[in-house]
Amino acid sequence: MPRLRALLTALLAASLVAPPFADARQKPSRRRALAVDNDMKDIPEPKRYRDAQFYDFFDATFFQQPRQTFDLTRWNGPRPAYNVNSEDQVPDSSWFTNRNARRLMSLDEIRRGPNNGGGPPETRGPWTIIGRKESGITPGFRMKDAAGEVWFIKFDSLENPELATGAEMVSTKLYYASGYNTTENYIVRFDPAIVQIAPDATIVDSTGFECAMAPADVTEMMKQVPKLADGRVRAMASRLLAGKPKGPFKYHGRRKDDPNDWIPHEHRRELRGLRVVASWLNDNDIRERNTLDMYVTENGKRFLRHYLIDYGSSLGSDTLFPNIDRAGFEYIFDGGEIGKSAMSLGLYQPPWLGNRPVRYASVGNFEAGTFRPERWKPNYPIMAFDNLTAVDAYWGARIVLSFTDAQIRAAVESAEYSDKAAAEYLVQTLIERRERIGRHWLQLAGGLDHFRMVTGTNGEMAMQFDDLTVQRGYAEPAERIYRHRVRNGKKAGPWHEFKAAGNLDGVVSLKPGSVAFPSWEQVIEVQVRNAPESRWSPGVAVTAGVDAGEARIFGWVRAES
Amino acid sequence: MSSAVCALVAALLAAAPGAAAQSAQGACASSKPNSACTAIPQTALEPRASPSTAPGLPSPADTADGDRIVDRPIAPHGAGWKVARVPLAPFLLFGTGFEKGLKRLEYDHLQLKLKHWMQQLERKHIQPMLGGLGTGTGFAVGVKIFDHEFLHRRVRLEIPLQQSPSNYLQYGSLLAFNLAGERALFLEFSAQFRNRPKEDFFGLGNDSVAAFRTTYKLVDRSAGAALGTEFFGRTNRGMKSGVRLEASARYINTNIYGGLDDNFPVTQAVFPTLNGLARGSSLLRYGFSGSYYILDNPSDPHAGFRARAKYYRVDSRNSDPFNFNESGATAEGYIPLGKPRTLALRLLSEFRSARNGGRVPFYHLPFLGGSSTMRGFREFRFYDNAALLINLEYRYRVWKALDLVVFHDNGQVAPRGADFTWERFRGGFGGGMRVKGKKGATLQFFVGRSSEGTRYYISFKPEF
Repeated sequence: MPRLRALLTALLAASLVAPPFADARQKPSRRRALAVDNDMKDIPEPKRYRDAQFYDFFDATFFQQPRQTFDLTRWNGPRPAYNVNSEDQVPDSSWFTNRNARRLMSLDEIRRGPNNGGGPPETRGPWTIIGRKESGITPGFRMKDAAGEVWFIKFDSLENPELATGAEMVSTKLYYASGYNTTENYIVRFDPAIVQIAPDATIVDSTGFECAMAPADVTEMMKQVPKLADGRVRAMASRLLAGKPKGPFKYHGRRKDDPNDWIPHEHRRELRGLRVVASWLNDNDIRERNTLDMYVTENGKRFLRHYLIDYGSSLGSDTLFPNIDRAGFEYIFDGGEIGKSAMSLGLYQPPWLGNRPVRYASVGNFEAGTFRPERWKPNYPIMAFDNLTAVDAYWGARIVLSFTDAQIRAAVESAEYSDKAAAEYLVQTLIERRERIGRHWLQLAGGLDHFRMVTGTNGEMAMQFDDLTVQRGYAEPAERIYRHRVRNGKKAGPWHEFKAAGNLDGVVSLKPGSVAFPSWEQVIEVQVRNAPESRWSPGVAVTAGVDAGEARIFGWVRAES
Repeated sequence: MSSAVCALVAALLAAAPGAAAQSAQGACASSKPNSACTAIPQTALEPRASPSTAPGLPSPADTADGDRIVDRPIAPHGAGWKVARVPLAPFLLFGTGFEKGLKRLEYDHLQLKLKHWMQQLERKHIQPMLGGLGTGTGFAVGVKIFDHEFLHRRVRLEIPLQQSPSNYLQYGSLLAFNLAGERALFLEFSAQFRNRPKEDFFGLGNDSVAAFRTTYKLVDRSAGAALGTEFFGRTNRGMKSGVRLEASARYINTNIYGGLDDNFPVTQAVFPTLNGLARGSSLLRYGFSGSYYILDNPSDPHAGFRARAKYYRVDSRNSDPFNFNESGATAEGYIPLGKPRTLALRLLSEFRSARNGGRVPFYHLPFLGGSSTMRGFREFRFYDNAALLINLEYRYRVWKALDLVVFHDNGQVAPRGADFTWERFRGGFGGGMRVKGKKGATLQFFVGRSSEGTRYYISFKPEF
């Protein structure tokens, strides 16, 4: 009995210990990498989920951390993201569509962004206000234009014209081009006289009770809004998304009434990697409230499509005002930073302390000098972001790096800033932040990508790949040392180090014949390091073999560390 | 029992997420042909259609309709979480209730409604009061009836009423006239009733014994008037300055009874000869007081200086020989040590000196001990004719609404000021936090340690 008791105790203890690395990424195989995750199957209409932004704050700030602590499977670190195909990419889905990182979009496509409908609302009017904005603090309303389309109209604050609308326009284009679902937004200029009120339009006044909207409410709203020289008002018009709104999505868990939602959101690569894109755009207000699930009908199927919305707090904007200094550096309530300050008796000074002057009112508090991609934080913790691994971050960084300077400039142009110097400052800051993101995450992950087979001059097949770190100019070709070895099952061969001679374009080939490609699959592990350092990058395990008489790459898996 | 446990263990192991997914997805992908891994359907091994045109990028046409990146829904949490949910159940229930409450707050706009109701109350000249009634009274609630333009725009009327759960009661009235400008010259009439049923007394002197704790009940009624002037300004460096000078007279009638704290003997039994214990007192107190400050933010200072001084004569209005002078001075300094850090220093002295052979009722003596004076000691721990106090606080901001504090308090009481010596100082040290609102610190928590043990304090009104 004592032995049996000991055995059972050990078994029970073992069951509570984190299981070995549960890697559910699509493994390389002769089957092509999955390009589309078919989560757009017909589902019954889900209920509308009503979130609570105060609870979201408390949950994220105070409850999430203990919850994660008790998730024993995280004790070895976050698990790899689930929805990754055999080429370390995210398939298209109702959450994400590969765009600029797959195929460079034209400047017109960047400027157009998600705008595929009939263009902005006609500004001759009339615009009939049908109600207040459901959420957010920017002044605005919902209206039906003369064509009967429903729009959300958002304004800037009197003190900071173009700040919120500009930030939202730029971020919309860049988020869309990155692959996320966003709303159609347009900059409009209209005469307030075209605005009328629908008889059933309501507003929640300062008493907290809903009452009929009166002309005085609109007049009061317009007093708080900056006017152009000709008396017109600049605003951002956001087209009502197609479908039925079903509330926001959470950055953790799954939606219980969505049969298509198979993957816990905190383990979706595109939500984890969103942290990198959000850090680039300093979208510190990214949270559950600024997401939206729409029950759409596409190709005869009804399903939930998942959107990011409301970027008025991105770049240098905090909607009504420029970002406070803390934005992007600390959570609203950051236990870690509070702890550092507390333990050091106030000697620890956070890096953002000290006033950074706002150079342009329309751009707000946005700069690159103090930006550290690995330390960027939104307003409060997001579980998916906490689960970001180096490989997820590398994926996100590749998306950010896919944007050229001209594309960034095109996105900024869509905001129609009246101050060209401010627009140019914004462009340069985005470029600098892009480079910081690339420099950090590429070097952390190694930067080896695009593995392929090429035929050598003597007809032999060789494996070739890109060293993105060299291609981006973050490392000198002469500094880079590569090594590879072949692994068959559990048996691994010796490492072979080599330098890529004349590798000025960052394209590296394994010497033809240095690796044999048998009829079955084998794994070639590749690593890189910079000469002065001694640490090798996390490896990439490339599966290759012969398929139908042709040597082929079947896919690759990046090691998390 | 053992079989049930085995079954449980087996179930937990089987429930570990990812394991099943891993086994289903190509675990045999790297095996040689004709190996033992024959479980993979042959269709999965058939080469697909045309290879990608771009290096490393798959063609969507290669995938079959209906393919999912994972083969089944994945549980958000592992087996460990399922086990941990059992002890965490109360917290999870709390979380669910909390979420529902906050949703209600938001969707029913309860915040706005509460603000509206408060404004409605203020229009009816009623204001709720929350806070303490002074050292040792605990948290009190009450209401204030007020009118800031009572009969005239320069006349202010306030009638506060507050009570704490430990039956401390206080109510009064204030009628204030702005005779010129914005309080450049003011005249105030006030009256007050206080019932303090559980006041502590440990004996007189610096060496009083903590074990001799007794309790008494103090009930006093007072009425008086004050004439004064108050000015505010701003210095060249943006600091705010203020001056207040006041002459006042007040009649105070005090009665002392046995205290209502059953845990301790009444003061009358242990210290029967204390001045003012037997019959209370009827006193007239008249004199001057003044204060001056230059501070960056008077409600939450980080830099600057503040000083207060007072001098009163107190005469007995009946046959009791309670004639004495009351005087005191306080100086506070705030030294900024870099943006989030401040060193705050307070020097306080209070004196009572009997006149014409008179005596001072014990409840009018200066005291030390408690959150407002010397932390680490009980409230009202030391009484005597003279008190000297030094508070040193190092405050540093850790969050926009939260300062942490490390403090050292030192004080002594003595029969006369001339009797103060370095050796008599008694000290306490500790730390705490100040929760700040828009108007400065609104709530403070301290832990103080002294030779008499460790004490915890909550206070609603910062002393400095």
